[in-house]
Amino acid sequence: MKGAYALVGVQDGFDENYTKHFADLTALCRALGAGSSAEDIAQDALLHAREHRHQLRDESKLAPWLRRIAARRTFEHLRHQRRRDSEEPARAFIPVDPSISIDVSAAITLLPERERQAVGLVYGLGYEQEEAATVMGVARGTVATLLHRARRHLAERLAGYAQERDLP
Amino acid sequence: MRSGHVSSDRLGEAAQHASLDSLRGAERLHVESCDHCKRLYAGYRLTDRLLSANWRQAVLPPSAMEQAPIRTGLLDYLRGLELNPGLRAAAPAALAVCLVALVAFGVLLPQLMPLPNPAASSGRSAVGLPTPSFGSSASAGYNPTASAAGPVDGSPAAQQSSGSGPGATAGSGSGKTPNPTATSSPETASSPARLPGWPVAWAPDGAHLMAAGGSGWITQRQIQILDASGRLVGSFNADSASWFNSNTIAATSHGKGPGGFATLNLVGLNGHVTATLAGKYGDGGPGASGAVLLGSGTGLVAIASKGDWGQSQSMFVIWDGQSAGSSHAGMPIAFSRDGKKLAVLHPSSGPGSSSSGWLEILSVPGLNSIASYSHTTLRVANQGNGPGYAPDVAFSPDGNWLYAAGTLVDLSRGSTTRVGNGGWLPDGTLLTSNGGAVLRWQGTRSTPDARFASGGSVATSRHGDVVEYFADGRSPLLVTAGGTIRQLNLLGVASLGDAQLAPSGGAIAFTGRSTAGGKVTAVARLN
Repeated sequence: MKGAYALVGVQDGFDENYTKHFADLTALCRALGAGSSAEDIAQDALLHAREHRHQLRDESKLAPWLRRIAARRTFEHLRHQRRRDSEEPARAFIPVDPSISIDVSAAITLLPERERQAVGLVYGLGYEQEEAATVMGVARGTVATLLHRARRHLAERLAGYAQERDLP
Repeated sequence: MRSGHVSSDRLGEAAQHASLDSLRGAERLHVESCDHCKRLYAGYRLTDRLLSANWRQAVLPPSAMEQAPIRTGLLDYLRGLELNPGLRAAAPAALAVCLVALVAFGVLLPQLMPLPNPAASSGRSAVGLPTPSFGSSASAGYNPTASAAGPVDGSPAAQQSSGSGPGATAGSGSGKTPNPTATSSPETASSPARLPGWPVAWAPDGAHLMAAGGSGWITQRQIQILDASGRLVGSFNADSASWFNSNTIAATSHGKGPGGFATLNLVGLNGHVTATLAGKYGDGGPGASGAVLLGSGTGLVAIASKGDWGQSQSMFVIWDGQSAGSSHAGMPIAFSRDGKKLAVLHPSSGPGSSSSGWLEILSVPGLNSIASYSHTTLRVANQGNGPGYAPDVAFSPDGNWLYAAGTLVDLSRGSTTRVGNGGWLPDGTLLTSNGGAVLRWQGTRSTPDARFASGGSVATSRHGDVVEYFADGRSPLLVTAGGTIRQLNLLGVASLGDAQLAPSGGAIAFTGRSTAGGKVTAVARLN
């Protein structure tokens, strides 16, 4: 049974902000392309963080630290998924505009993976480019380049659709 | 400008200003008269509008993936290049010339540069060496009889070939250990019938199922009722539907009732409305999700009336087709098999479409609390798709345990155990797999089930049948409630990504990849 509703996690005092962190990490994992595994990865990341919390020297950097753990696990998951050629129903983190067809929104999923991740983090989650770069393990300039390319790729892909419908 | 056009970057800048005025005069004049540049400018405008929309996790309809342009070959790639018209027209011809040149090179090379004969170079005479024969060498591993018996692409032929001998037992060729108590039968061949969407909702008796096409969002769409062979029996339009009993469906249409509130109907197998619940359900406001239905399959439906999934003020009532009882707080997530218990999640927080909360078990229809687990915080995420609300939550047959999307909850204590994905067997065993071995859970203790291969996923029926399926192309295995093990040959299907067995075990609905390489969502009988 793979479900539409995932029931994950038991709060046990690891952090009074557990729910907030869990939501933040789940959103991050989704933006990076984890799909229906996002909750599981976020949960695993929090468990890992709890076990290795002594490695965190600056408590104020808890959130970025958790994000890096979750991102790393998501990248591992995606590598594993590519090897296994998973055939899950297509779930994706995409922009949703009531006046735009989901077929158009789905163009996001056809971007190269790194571009899709950069767009998801910056446009989808509202990360600063610097934050996105930290999560992705690249330089800020790389994120800027990925965003630029993603916008161009999307524009090329959506060009015909936009003009046919005479969109403003 | 490149190839006479305004550069993509300049068009992108103009789109950011939402006006061509930011372009230089010559550029603007060109764009106004150039269809290519106009299209690209419109593409940038749409892109910016899209990127600034609200983002969320959504289930993509098959149409979204099928309609998307995916370049699969060199010609497609060349078509996508920004070549000037002359070059673009010449590209196919140039490609053809290259191919001819390659072939000619391959033919002429051996004549121009004879390869040394290894026999001669080793001092032996080349005379008497056997002449290579592709026909004879191929025949050694090629069984034309088996191939002819294969349905579509030849891959099932290998299954049939291996299935004719003793190696056809479930463990053959996959490192599995057959269960000595089980009998084996080589193969069950089934012809699948296509379904409009995934996932599906099986009727409690397994005779019918519901499937819906289109997007997974809550919106008015056609829901089809099909029999276990995939034949269309009826259809109706609704936002969300759930099985009320084996012959009746509860359906809701957001905003169709008085005052813009949701309408609740009972629908027969032919798709016709047989009863309507009076009253107002769902808040009916802009952006509201209306009512959410959870059918028991035993003649009850829980109707959750709320604005958005995850809000703490979620309320629900139980409708028995005649009258609705008093309302209760929380979101219903599962009925017990006898319909006498209801698991409810009490959301306490959570952004957007997901929420954390605590679990409560209620008696039905009185909605008296049997147990509550306020010390156990659980998280529920809504990724609605299929015909309606479908939590992956199920009571054990005796009602003392709750399986929920990979977590097992001991309802005597409220403790939880991560168990992987799976389902219940009639004897109260939970069968799960997390990508490794298939495990049998008796309470919180697990043992590997040697009848199954590692690396598969399992789907169970209430009747006790189990299908293990693989994303890597291995044939699915059917282990019947009687212990018979068979390989499943789903004609035209290369691999399964997800599967739902009918409660009766007589059919399987699945989504996966066809032998032609496309995505396939279908149902097939298991006779």
